[in-house]
Amino acid sequence: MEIITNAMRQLAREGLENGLDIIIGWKDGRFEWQSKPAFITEINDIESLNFNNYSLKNLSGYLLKKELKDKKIGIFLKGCDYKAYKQLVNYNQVDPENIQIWGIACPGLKERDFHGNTSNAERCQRCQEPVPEELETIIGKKEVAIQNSPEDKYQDVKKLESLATDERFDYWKDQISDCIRCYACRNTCPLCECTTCMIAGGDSNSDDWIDSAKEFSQDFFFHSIRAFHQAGRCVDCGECEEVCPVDIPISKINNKIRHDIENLYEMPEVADDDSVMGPLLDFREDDPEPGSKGGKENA
Amino acid sequence: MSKIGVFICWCGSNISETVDIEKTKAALEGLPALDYIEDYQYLCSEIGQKKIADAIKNKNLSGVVVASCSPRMHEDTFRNAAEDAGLNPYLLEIANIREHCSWVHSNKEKATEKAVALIRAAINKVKHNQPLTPGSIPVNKRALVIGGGIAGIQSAIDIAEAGYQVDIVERTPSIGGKMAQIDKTFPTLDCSACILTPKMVEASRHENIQLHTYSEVARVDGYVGNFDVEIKKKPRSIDEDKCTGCGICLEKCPGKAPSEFEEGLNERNAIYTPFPQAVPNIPTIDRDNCIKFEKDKCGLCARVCPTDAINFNQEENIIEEKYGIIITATGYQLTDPDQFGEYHYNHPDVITGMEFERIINAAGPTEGKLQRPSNSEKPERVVFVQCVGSRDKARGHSHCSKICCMYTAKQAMLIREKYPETEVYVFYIDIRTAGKGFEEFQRRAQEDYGVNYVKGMVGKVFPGKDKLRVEAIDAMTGEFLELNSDLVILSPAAIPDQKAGDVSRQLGISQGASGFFTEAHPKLKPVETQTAGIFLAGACQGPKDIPETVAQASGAAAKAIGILSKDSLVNNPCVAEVNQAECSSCFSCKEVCPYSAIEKDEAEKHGMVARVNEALCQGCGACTVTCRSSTINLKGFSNKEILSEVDAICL
Repeated sequence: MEIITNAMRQLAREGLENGLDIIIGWKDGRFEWQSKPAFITEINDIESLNFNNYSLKNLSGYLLKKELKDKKIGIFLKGCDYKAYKQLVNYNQVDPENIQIWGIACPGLKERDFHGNTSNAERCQRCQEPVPEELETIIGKKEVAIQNSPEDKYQDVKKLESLATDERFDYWKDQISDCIRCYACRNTCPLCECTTCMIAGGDSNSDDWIDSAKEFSQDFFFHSIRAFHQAGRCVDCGECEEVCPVDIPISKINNKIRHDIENLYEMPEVADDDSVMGPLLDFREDDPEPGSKGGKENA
Repeated sequence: MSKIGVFICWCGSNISETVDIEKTKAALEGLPALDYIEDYQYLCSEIGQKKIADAIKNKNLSGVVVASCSPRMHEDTFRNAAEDAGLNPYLLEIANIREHCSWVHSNKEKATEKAVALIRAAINKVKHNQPLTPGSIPVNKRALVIGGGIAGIQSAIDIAEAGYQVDIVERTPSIGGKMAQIDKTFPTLDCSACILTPKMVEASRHENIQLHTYSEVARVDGYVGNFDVEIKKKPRSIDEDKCTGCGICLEKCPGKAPSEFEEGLNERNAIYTPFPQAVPNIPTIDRDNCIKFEKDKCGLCARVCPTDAINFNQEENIIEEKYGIIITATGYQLTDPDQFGEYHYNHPDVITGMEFERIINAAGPTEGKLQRPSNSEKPERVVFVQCVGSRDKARGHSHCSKICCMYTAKQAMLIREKYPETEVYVFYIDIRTAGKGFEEFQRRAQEDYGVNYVKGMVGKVFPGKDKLRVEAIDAMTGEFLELNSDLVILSPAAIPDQKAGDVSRQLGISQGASGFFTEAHPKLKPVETQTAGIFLAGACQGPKDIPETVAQASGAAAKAIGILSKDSLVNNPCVAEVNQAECSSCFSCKEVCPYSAIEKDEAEKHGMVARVNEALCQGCGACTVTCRSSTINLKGFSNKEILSEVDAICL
């Protein structure tokens, strides 16, 4: 961690000296098990940059902030953060010309629950690409042990899929009924880039797709529509689940869709270069027909 | 304040028998949104239309719901009536209580309930409808005909005669299609080539017709009046301008391949013209079988060519052209009898009807002499087997191939005419000869020419030492038949051309269960497709004989001329619209738009945003569902309108 921190400070200093307007990284939070985003514009503040065991926060989402438009930005991105960044480029949300990226070979991070127990972060256990290998500059040890095999990362999903339809429905009903529609998941998602949200429920001037009534069907709509809006783009950075105040396993919804896409279209879950828009916007003649038993697992 | 009127049509008994009109009216009358309600037996009649128009004027209606048949049928009718009465036609909605309700339900109570729900939904929608005004789009006065068989040739000549430019794109080196391979045509026994060749020549000489043989359509974009098409000209390896068609190159070529035109019964050279009357009469080098291309040796043709026309380095050429309309005339092919193992098509003496056409043709591989392909002897007995793969739901195709009964009668007659001592048997399921003079023709084969018709399918063909043993059951007597035959002629099912699937995807037209292209309406729009500006000619729509093909080709041409003669077409105003202030510029819409109708637009507020090119947009709505922030709406089908319809049904 210290190596990463030192390299971060070094690169940030060079960046500011070479004309970058702002550096986005992490700094320590109030407690030792915290880390928060840092926005550095002055060389004097560089020493506050710090990468610790809890620097989970996906920084790429901040690139969408209007305040940063036309600024020259330097940003540190872990493997998952970088995947999100590439999606933002694919969908014309950021201009790569203005952005200097430094990759971080993520060693796998920790999270701490409400009772003070720390453990390896769930998202890190599913992660297959902790190192943004495409980048020119990568700090940290490149040989990172991946904690789970590609098959194992869908353990949870497969467990759910093995349940009967009503059992599954009951499970989700149970989970989603807790939703208080605080929209934190949406607000923190680095890929929720719409200027207005169609499912905002009252605060948007779009049509009333969902009303604000606290009712299961409306909560369910919100989560399923959001999942479909992120389908084929979600990079499993885990931000949504992290911020949920009522512990809805949102990543699991996204993972289910990711699993379906991988299985049905035999495509990577997210597009990795900007020539492809992702499985749900792409049409190939051999795509399986909706409803038919397609996909490699059914083949 | 909106004033909505509802008009319920009985459609005679089509609707009123299953939907209780009185109850429906009673259920709707209490609705606060409803200001006027009326029912009538036939709303599409003149009186019915007048009722709607009068109510619009007298009651000052601001929106109208007509509960009747499918909007495909009469939306235009009622919209015109509304417009005549001074109402914007897009303030009229159809509730389809016939196809969606009375025709598919038998329980009157439930059908009535559903009719009420559908009408309520339409009322809810029409409240949010906005008046729309169609724009106009210009028309490119040039036609594209895909396929150079008799259907394509006829359509092209008709359009060219009307004074418009036509391009024919033909995949093979010559136009002429299947008809060129046929010996005689029924029921007149005209020589097929004699009636086709002048048409081919006319097409090639016509000042308004451009032939693109050995070419394929590579890409089609655009819409009626403005199709953008890429035609891929495959390299013939011959300079068409220099070649005089003298044919010296053909004689010297050592490369060999089975002749497609002769159905593989004999060989052609690697440099070849498919048949003597080919148009254009320019050879083509088949690169797969040419020694020069395989081993970089030979090149004899180039050495003997007196005009230096051979060009081994010719490359694929892409032509881009704009068309107002497209006619598809991609024709048919015969199914492969190999999949019916019991007929032993792999035996040389088991042939198809098309192979027979070549054998009996004076210019064919046997110079018209009827011979067994195995030993070149004259057959003593010939057996025809009908419906090989046709009318066979289980293993083949459910459809009737329509032409086989007649061509078999013709072929049987030709045999008996030339070789009266030959015995001819025809095994059939049914004889279907619906056509002018057809029944008489088939009777002649039976009565005057002594062809033996046996009702019953052939169970199996056993290749013996010399003869083929044919086993069948005579369905009339129940008798088991065993015949020794010298030649077995199969009538394989007529199926769509192998590339029909590609064409349907390129053009966005649909194929029916059997793979033939689907017409827009089997009775009222038999040559149109569901895609405006694309028409069907000939057997690509279903098995057809020559007279029918020619008639349909002229029909398609007439429809095409109708469009080409206009300077501009009325645009559908139900196009997508972007709320640019809310667009997040992800351009997912651009990605899914099949008509390339979405463009990037420089907006003042923030960077690039999406914009809809209304001339290109076809109102399919793909963009509206892709747009995550619901920033795109389809005019006439906005989210608000559809949601309120759903609310009416669900809430």
